[in-house]
Amino acid sequence: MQDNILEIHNLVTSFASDGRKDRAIAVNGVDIAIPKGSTVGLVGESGCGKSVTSLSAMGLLPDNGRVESGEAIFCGRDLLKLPDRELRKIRGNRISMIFQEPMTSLNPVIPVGKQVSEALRLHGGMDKETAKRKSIEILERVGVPEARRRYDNYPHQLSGGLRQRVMIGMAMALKPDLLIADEPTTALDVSIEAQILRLMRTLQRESGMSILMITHNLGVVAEICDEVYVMYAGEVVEHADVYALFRDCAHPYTRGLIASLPRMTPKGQRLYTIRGTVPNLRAMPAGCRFAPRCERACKRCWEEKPLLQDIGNGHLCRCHAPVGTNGNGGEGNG
Amino acid sequence: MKRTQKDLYTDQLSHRILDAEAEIQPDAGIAHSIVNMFRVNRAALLGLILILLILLLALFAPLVARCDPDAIDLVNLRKPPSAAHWFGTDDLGRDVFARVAYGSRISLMIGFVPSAISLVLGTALGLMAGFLGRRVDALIMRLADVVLAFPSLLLAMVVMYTLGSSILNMFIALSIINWAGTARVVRAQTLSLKEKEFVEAARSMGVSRWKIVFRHILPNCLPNLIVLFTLDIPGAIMWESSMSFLGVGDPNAASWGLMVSQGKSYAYMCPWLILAPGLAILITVMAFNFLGDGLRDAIDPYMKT
Repeated sequence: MQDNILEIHNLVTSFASDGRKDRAIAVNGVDIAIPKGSTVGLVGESGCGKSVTSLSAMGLLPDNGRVESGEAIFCGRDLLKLPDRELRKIRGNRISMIFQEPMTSLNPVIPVGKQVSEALRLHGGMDKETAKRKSIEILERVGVPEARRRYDNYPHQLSGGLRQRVMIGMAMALKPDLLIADEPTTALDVSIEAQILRLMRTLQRESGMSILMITHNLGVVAEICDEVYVMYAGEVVEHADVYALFRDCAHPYTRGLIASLPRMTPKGQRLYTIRGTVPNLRAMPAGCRFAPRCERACKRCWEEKPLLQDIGNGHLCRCHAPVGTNGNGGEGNG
Repeated sequence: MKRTQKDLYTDQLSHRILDAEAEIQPDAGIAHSIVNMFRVNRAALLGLILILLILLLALFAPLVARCDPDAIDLVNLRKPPSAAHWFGTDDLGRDVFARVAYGSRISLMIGFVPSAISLVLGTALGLMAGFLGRRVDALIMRLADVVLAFPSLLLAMVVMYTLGSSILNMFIALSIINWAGTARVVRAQTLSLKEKEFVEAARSMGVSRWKIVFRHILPNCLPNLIVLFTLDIPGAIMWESSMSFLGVGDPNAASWGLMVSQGKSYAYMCPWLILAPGLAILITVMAFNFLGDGLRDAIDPYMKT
């Protein structure tokens, strides 16, 4: 398919941990496609493998991580097979990332403006003067007030919101085709979060880039994403466009996530929670990985691993008994 | 897309918030913070002034001391301090003040040179160990462990005995016992820095490994290295004094340590023979320690961002 900027096929990533021979599989056969110009959300709770998926594609796994199989096709090239030197040309230039912690994502000993212009010079081949002028423009563009003065400021002199703006400016500096945002607003308070999301949306409209938004915040997803992938325990469990997902989510896990959002319901009601915790990566249930926590789990769920299947209009769900259908493994069958 | 009234309102609001944010912090750099530290921390200021005075003394020793430090005067042996000889004379009738003044050159050199060598060596090895990890790390760190496991003084003395007593060999001996500490500190910093998000961010921007080491990791170690360096200098001066006192120093380099060593037989009768160089050592070492502590205080908050 030509209209996808990045396609990840059957990605498997494992991690070694101290003193153990067997490797923990953190990402188990993930397929993700990011259409050109759209924003795709990757949602799941901590440790479900959403960050590892993006780091694998970028070749940025820590030393103990390893991609076992799969491919990540970006503009006709498999990122997972590119040598480091080639990959470096793509990183920052064609694909940029922003990270969760604006507090620590900037080098504390280099003025922020300089960091932006270094990003420009790294791939853009600009001279110092041009890069400086350009970075001041960029800082203004991402809403840093008094950009000229801010250029010489060190990161500790900026607030979290401003730092995240600088990070976005840096990531956007070279007009990438794809921006991977790994929980970009988690460390910010909600009003700043709204500003940052608005900024990202505006920049996207201007440049036509695609965004992969990694988050555990369904509010962010609803705000900014076109399509959503929901991950659970290293697998994609549901994929749909954002309206379909919020209107009729099919996987019990997604339903649990949405149900556990605080609402403006009358006082005194307990918030819904998904019972239990994510199973250990080394001791996954044989059947559905969500079965131990699922209210709808039946015998089949414990024994047979469900496949990711189309339940209509490209809405994918990994469940024997999707919510809202009377699937072949449904409640009556238990 | 059409902008609604609400959009406009949030825009205005966000600008107001941003303007407020912009006013939060006045411009201040690390240099600024160091200057501020001197204003508050009197001990560090005293240390700095003393160091400058000692440097001037070393530089202008011939002007300050009116006598030749090596001129033997057999008529005036072991004379107590007087107007002619401020710190008295030693057992060969040499002027103790002149010897202390000229000795500052040797002692400062002993302080600076091995500290600089071990700084460079330790930093390079520490960066390699921390960044490359695995076998390189294991090799360098075991080597450092060996050096640190030896009693430093003994190791330095063995080196001096093996290579012979000269000031150059003193530099080598002191560098050998000092690099391991620096390497450990730098390695530990590198290990923590390379997991920092800004290093990951740099990698995600396509920055090469060497550039990450020199542009992102080393500069972040630098403040600590400055502190380490200022605290290494008095250490080296003390080691040299101890070794000279024990008789393994360079007998021709009239360092303060050697002077104390030579004066020790007359300690009861002529206390000025050991008091003058001893106080010089004390003041110099204290000055560097005060300065180092102050610098650490000034630099520390920067490392927490």
